[in-house]
Amino acid sequence: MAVPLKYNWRNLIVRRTTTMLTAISITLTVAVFIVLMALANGLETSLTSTGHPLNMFIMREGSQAEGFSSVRRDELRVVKYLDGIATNDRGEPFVSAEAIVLTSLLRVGREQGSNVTIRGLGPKGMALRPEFKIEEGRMFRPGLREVLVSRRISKRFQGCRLGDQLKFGKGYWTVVGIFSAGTSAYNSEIWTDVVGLMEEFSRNDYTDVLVRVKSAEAAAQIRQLVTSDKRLHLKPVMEREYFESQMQTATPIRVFGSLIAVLMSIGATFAAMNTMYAAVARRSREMGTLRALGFSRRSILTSFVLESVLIAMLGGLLGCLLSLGINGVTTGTTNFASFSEMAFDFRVSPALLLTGMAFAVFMGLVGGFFPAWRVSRSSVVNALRSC
Amino acid sequence: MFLKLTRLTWRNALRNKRRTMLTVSSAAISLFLLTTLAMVYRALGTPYQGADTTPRMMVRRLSGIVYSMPSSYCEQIKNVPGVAAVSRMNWFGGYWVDPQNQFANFAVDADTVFQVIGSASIPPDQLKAFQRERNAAVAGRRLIEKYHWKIGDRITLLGSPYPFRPELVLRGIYTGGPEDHFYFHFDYLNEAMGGHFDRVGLFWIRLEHPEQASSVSKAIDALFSNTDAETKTESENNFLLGFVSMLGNVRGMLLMIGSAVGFAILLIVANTMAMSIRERFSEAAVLRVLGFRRRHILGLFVGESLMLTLAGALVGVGGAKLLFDTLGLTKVAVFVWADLRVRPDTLVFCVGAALLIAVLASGWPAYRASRSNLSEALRFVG
Repeated sequence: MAVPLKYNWRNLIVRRTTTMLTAISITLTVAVFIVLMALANGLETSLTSTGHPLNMFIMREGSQAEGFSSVRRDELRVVKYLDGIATNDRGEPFVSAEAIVLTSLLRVGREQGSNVTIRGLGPKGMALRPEFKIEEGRMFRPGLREVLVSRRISKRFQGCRLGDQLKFGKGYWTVVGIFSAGTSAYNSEIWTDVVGLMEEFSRNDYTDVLVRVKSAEAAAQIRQLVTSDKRLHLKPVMEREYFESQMQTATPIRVFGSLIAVLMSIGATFAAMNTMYAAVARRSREMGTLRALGFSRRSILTSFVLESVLIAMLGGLLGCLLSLGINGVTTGTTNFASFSEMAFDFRVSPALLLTGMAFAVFMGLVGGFFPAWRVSRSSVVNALRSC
Repeated sequence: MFLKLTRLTWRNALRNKRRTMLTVSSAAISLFLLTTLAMVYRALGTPYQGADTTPRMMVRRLSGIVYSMPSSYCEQIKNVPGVAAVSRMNWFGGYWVDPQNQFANFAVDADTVFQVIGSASIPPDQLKAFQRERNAAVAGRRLIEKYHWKIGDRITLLGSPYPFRPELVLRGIYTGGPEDHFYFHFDYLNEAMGGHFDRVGLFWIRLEHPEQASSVSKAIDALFSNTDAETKTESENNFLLGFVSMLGNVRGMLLMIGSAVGFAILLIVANTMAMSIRERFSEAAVLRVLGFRRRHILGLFVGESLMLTLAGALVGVGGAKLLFDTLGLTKVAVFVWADLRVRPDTLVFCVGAALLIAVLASGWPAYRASRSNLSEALRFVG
């Protein structure tokens, strides 16, 4: 028969101070773990969810990122009419030749600037990106120095609100709309028309071309055509894959976060162990009484471990609650692959909260096991005799 | 008296060996973590400390480092009073064989680059070979150690944003200065780009006197204000800080985590002390009956807490210093370099924090034990 849980619960309440101290050290460990993983989560989500499965970037071979690529006009002419590229109802290829420019803008409340990507899109550029949506204002008109700013950039950088005059290139551009693009990496960009942008920066070549292919087989076909054509020095890469490959930025954060969490958890587990050893020592007569009453060694062991787990769960719950505050907070870093800003939100998912609780329970289990093992092995008589 | 108390404190700490071990180990691990976080925080604030970098400055485009300046600026900068040497410096961004092997490679003016660095030493014959041959390159000691290169090796840089692949020959190895850099000729870059390549990413300059930094930077920027390519001249440290800032609010995160860790240590030590003091409540009363004063009791308990925490600090903080001094890491993130070692002020801060934690953790229960009502305390059953 199991030792009633009420016994453990009452003990925790009587020893309030030590219960709280132990629980809070677990709270801190769990909270730090969840916040750091939420950071990595947010980063990864914004990169993995970018792209239509049938969109393909065509950029310079050997370029590590869009920003370092260039596509000449004669190359564009070849690529545009390749067999396998989807066409719209008017028979025009579903293609957007684009240009990327990096500009340094000041963050709100900071003196140092960060690079932000300005993307010039072709007329079909918006349609190629199904998650695109104008939230405020209107679409820019080509040639009139008008831009659309993504909501995240608008929040984080100076001079990017609706109606503001944004300075880059040779002069000022008007922000005529705020857009969002699902949870994709496009949420960290400023968009305008490609012709106007290229003129401003005296560019002759496009940066890359985004195309919609008819099917997966067509994609393979186009890949073959592009790489084997000697006139072109281009490489095709699916839009989804391109952004996913940049996820390497998130890995160091996960590693760093896990390392910190492990180190902190050792500290917290030792605290739990200390508490439970003290509890065991203090309650050895009680334990002897329980044994004499007929409770088995096993049920006493379980009872103690459960008590430790209870403390840990208390701490874990508090930690989860604390870390919820960070959910949805927008932050950003420089995606060093593209060398420009990537804004994203902290994402505390239910799975992450569950992981946090499991982590806490694990700490409780480890912390409670050895002391409980000890108490379950002592003889009844000695236990009853102790003070 | 003090010595007697110290001995008593020591014996008390050893009474419950397991508890002491657990507390000290946990404090040690947490203090190791705290020291590491403090070290990175400090390094991100001042990437490189010391006289090595202060005479050097960077000139870049005001509108951002992704833009370039005309080569003609070189002569004009050289003629600014206070400038001892100038080198053009274009970040090339290539890797060697595998994309994993990324390092800092630059196209520079071979004639002046070592004058700019100042603190690097290279055998004169190697320097001459480097300056003489158009496709020659030099690398710092750290790079050599990492990739096991030798003089005479052919090194080809791939994957650069520049549309060519330089095939270079290693002609020199230097020590001192930035030892993880790789330099080749700007002229090589120029030729490969058609011969009229006029886009310089950075000008690396050395000041005759570091105190003139402010006046020289103003003079240089004034030269090019109101042109199409305005410049910003800043110390090498500030230039590196620009990259740190691009990472995002890392320092804020470090501060938050560091505080959590510090607070956790406090809780762990406080937990231990609370338990110990409660168990010895009546003992403390006995000691007072015997003639020990209140302040002795206070000292006894706070001393025990200090002993535990300092032992943890020795292992944790000391261990961190040893580890990072041995590793000598310099790379924080892809573009962010800093001197990652535990600096003296960080050391003092961490040990000080440990001491403060020790006092705070034991303060309240020790105070209560020292001021308790004697007869009640003697009767107290923990």
